Formats: sequence, C-alpha cells, structure tokens
Amino acid sequence: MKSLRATGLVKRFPTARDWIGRPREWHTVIDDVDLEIAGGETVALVGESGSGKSTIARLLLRLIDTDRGVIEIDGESINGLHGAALRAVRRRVQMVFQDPYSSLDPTRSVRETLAEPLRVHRLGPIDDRRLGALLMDVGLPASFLDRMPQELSGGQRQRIAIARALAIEPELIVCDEVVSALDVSTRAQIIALLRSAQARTGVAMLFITHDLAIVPHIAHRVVVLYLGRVVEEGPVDAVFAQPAHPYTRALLDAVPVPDPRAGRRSWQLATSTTAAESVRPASGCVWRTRCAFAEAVCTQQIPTLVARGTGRVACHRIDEL
Amino acid sequence: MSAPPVLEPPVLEITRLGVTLPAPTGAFRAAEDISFSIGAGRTLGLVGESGAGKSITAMAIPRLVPAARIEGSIRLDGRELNGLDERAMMSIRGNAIGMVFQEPRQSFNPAFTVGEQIAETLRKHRGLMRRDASVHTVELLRTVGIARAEARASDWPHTFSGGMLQRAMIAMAIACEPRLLIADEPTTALDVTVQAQVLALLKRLQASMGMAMLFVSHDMGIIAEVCDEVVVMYAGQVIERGPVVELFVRPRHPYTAGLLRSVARVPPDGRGLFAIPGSMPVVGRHPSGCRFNPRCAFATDVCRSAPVALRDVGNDVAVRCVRAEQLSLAESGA
Repeated sequence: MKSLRATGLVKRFPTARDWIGRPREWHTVIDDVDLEIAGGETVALVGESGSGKSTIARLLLRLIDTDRGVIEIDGESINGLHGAALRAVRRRVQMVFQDPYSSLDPTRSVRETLAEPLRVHRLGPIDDRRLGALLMDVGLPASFLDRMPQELSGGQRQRIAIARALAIEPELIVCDEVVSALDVSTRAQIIALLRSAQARTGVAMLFITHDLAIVPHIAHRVVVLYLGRVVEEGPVDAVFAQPAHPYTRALLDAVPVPDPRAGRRSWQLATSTTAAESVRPASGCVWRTRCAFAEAVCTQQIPTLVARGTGRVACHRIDEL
Repeated sequence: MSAPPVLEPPVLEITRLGVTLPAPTGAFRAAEDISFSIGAGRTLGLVGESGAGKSITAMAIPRLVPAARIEGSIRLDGRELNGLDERAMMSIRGNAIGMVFQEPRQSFNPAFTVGEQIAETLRKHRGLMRRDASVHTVELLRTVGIARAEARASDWPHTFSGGMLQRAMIAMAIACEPRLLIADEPTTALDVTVQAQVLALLKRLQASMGMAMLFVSHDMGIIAEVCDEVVVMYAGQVIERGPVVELFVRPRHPYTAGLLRSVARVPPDGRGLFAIPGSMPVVGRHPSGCRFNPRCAFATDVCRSAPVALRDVGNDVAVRCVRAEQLSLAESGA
C-alpha cells in the first residue's frame, strides 16, 4: 500500500425517529475529516472519549458506511465495494481492539484464533510451524498454541490479538486504544512489539489513543480530533514541541507529571477545563465552549485547517496566541 | 519498623497485614507482611502492576475480600478492625471508610437514579429522613462539580458520562465524611483531561475534610501528583516504602526504578519507552529468593538464594533489596 486517503468524511447517526422509524434528528459524529496514512507510516489519532476516534476506525474498515466523503487505497475508492472486492480490502486492513478480554473468543485456543484469518482469506497451508512462527513474532513461545484465552494475562492476550492481525500480512493495522487497558510496563512492551513489527513488515498503522504521552513513542504524525473535527495535525516532534491549538495544549497539560517536585500544576488547569459532557455547539468552532481564548469570530465561523509550520491547525486566533 | 512520622496518631495504621485467599488448588497468600500508616489529610499511594496485591490489600481494610483470611492489625483511629463482627464492619464501611472504584458504572445500580443511591447511603449511615437526605444529596452533587445537580440527581446512571459518574461515586463516598477514603484506580478508565479534573476534585475534598486517602494506582505519574507517601508492591509484598520525593528522586529498588522509567513523559525525554522485561510471577509460583530476581538486571546469586527482608535504610525509606546500597538507580532527569 502506498497510501490510504480519506477525504471529507462525514458520519451522522440518528438521534430521533418519527412514527414510521424514519430519522428525524441527526447527531454528526464525524464532520468533514481528511486523513492520510502513507505506507509504513504510523499516524496517531488522539482525542477524548466522544471525539469520534473509533468511528473513524470503523469507517476506514468499512464496518460502517460513510454519509459523505471518499476513502481510497492507492487511489482507488473502497466506498462502494462489496463481496469479494470488499473481502480483498479487509485482507489489507486489519484491526486490534482495546480490550483483549472481549476481543478473543474464550472458547477457542490460540491455535484456532490464529488459524481463522488464514482460512477465511484462503492463504495457503495452515500448520503448527507457521502458527508457531506467528507467535514468535509477537514474543511468545510456540507452546502457547494450545492455550485458551483465560490462561493468558492481559498483555499476552494483546500479543495474540496483534499476531492474529499480522497473520494475513496486512498493509495497514488500525490499533484502537490497544494499550489503554494495560499496566505501564506491559504497555511499553506492546509498543516495542508494534514498532518492531512495523520495522520488519513495513505495515502502516493508525494508532488511536486518548493518552498523548505515548504518542511520541509510536507515531510519526499525529492528528488531534475534537467532537468529530480535526483541530490540529502535524509531525509528532513539531506538535509536541510547539502545540498550536488550545485543545492540543489542554490535552498535553493534562498528562500527569511524574515528578513530585513539579509543583503539581495540572490541578490548576483542571479547574479551568469544564465538564466532559460537552455538547457540540450549533455554530463556529467545536472547541469554543471550553476554550479560554474564544471570541466573537469563534462562535460565528467554523475555522478551517490552515498550514502552520510543518503541520495544520484549525483556530481563528492562532496568530495571536 | 517505623512508619513515616506524623504528629497526630495516624488515621489508619496497618501492621503485618496478610491476606490469604481460598483457591481450588489450595489457599494462597495474595498479600503478606504489609505495614504502613496514613495520617489525617495525608495521601498514601499503593503502586504496582496487576497481580502485585495492591487492590487486595486496599480491599482487605474494609473487609471487602470475600472468604479471605486476614491476619495482622488494621487500626482505624486506634480501633482494631480485624476481628470486628460483620455488623460493626457494615457501619464502618461507607461511614468511617469511603470507597471509590475504577469502574463507576459497575458501582451504581442501573435500576435506581443516581440521587436515590446517594440518599440511601445518607439514610442508612447517618439516619437522615428521606427529605433531608435528598436535599443533602443535591448539595453533595454540587460539591463534586456536577452542573444542574438538582435535575441530575433524578437521572439514571446510564445518562451520566464516565467522568460525571465517577464524580457521583465520589459524592457517595464522601457522603458520611469518612476518616479514610480508599480510591482504587479511580481514574484509570477516564480520559486524561477528566482524570486531571477528578484528581483535582479528590485533593480539594481532602483539603476541606481532612480525610486520609489510600490511593491505589499503577501509574507513577498520578502517584507523583497526589501522594505524600508511597508503598510499592510486588508479588504480594511491599518492596519499597517511603516519602514520595525520596522514591522518585532516589528509588532504591530496581522495580521502583523500572516503574519510574516506564512512564511516558511529556515532553518526551528522548530515551524511548522502557519496559521491565518479563512479567509478574503467577501467585503461588514465586521464584526462590527475591521475588523480583528473574526480572532484575542487577540480580546476583545472593538474590536467588534466600528470601529478602524489608529493612529501613534511613530517610524514612524501607526497601526489600539486598543490594540497595550498592546500586545507583537514580535518574538524571527524574
């Protein structure tokens, strides 16, 4: 895969229906999102719960359909595909989920779990040597083939889920909060594993997370999402060195500082950030209701992404801040 | 083995606590020889990976570990809890001890409104009448920063976001102005921004109410922000204990140092993310000698030969490592 490119993605879900079940009101979850992932690259998609991160993942995998916008792999649209053509796309794009306790079938051994994608996509002979090699790639001994999910720790389960995704040699893996449920040291092991898998196979990754602190350790580029809109994107180094959007800054400030002498600054910030139950504003910038710098223009016009340095930012007041 | 000095007698004093759980293959000790104390208005962090025994230790205090055999002493304001009958424990839970758990959605009954559940606590433990309880419930919801508290009190748990429900959980935990608040990974399921808000709320409430707090977490970043003292656990044992600054600036145990190095920092420090190799031993299958030795970069024959005792090494720090004085584990940037 040279690139996956999504342009102008829109996804709405009905929130109310009339008496014969036709949607009457809509909630826009993804609003005009562009996203590009190059071959061999890792793009981090960050934002709080409800920002639409997982919806984007489901759109890219064609688990749900877009209301507007195009998704192309190497220039070819995958929007209208079905049947064998869609199956061929799914062979190229795999997914790993957050919760390794619910993403593995508890009635299947590791052997059956790893063999299934190979069988579904009819990818040659399936023997223990091949399945054992898949386990070795994720740092587990081949003897694990006979284990059942309940015999495995969270980190081991997540390794199995990654091995299953890698089994059919996909070109892109969508990782949805894959380390959020893990201990810090296990988290570091899984991130190292994903990086080495990428170095070995050249697989591209979309890494979805609400934890900004781990992004520099896994991704090349970062896309910051808030209530369904991209507010900032750019190379990880640049965004972390100089976050431009007030939302990006708020996210970075909220990361706990592992130094008890640091003055414990995040408490002050915390009080100025309002509740998590934000409602998408009817007009203007999506972030303005929680923004300390919002002005009249922010309530009137939706800011568009404009180039700034090596990245892009959607903020009316970017030049003044 | 002395606890960190506190001027007043501690709110919670735990001495040689052991928790033994029944299992099909025979009972096993999930925690052993745990000693620490927490003074009024102070916060103690209980840290370690999954399986370290930190939640079991925390839950043994209000005796919320079913069928467990609990040894040692648990004193709350000088009163021994271990050995109290179940009726007396019930009045202590939710009254003198408040609790906040990781997943607020599992702590609320979906069939009752949030307000009803908080009011029930007030009626049961403080003997308030129905009307007074509901007035006080709204005040509590306001205290924890829930907007439109009056209307929200009669909403169902499923209409609350994770962060809001955790605030409601905290409201319930502090309803009876407990002497001790046990917070077991209270922000692990929350966004970083909401996490910062919930931590700020807990610290604000603690400052105004003067309660002692036992804070269970696997995240050293959070521990640094909220705790005064830290107890690091590994495979059911305390492996290091001391004031928060001591542990962060000069970790004495290789496991503590490893946990510190595995924290992702913002801005990144350019060293890459450190992973402690291997994993926690399965309960009941501990290696001989120091339980951490198979994962330790500094282990020698001495570490593999005999169990290691927790010992005082000065500066109010205790450590379970025979090589503590020889190792230099401090980080330049920590």
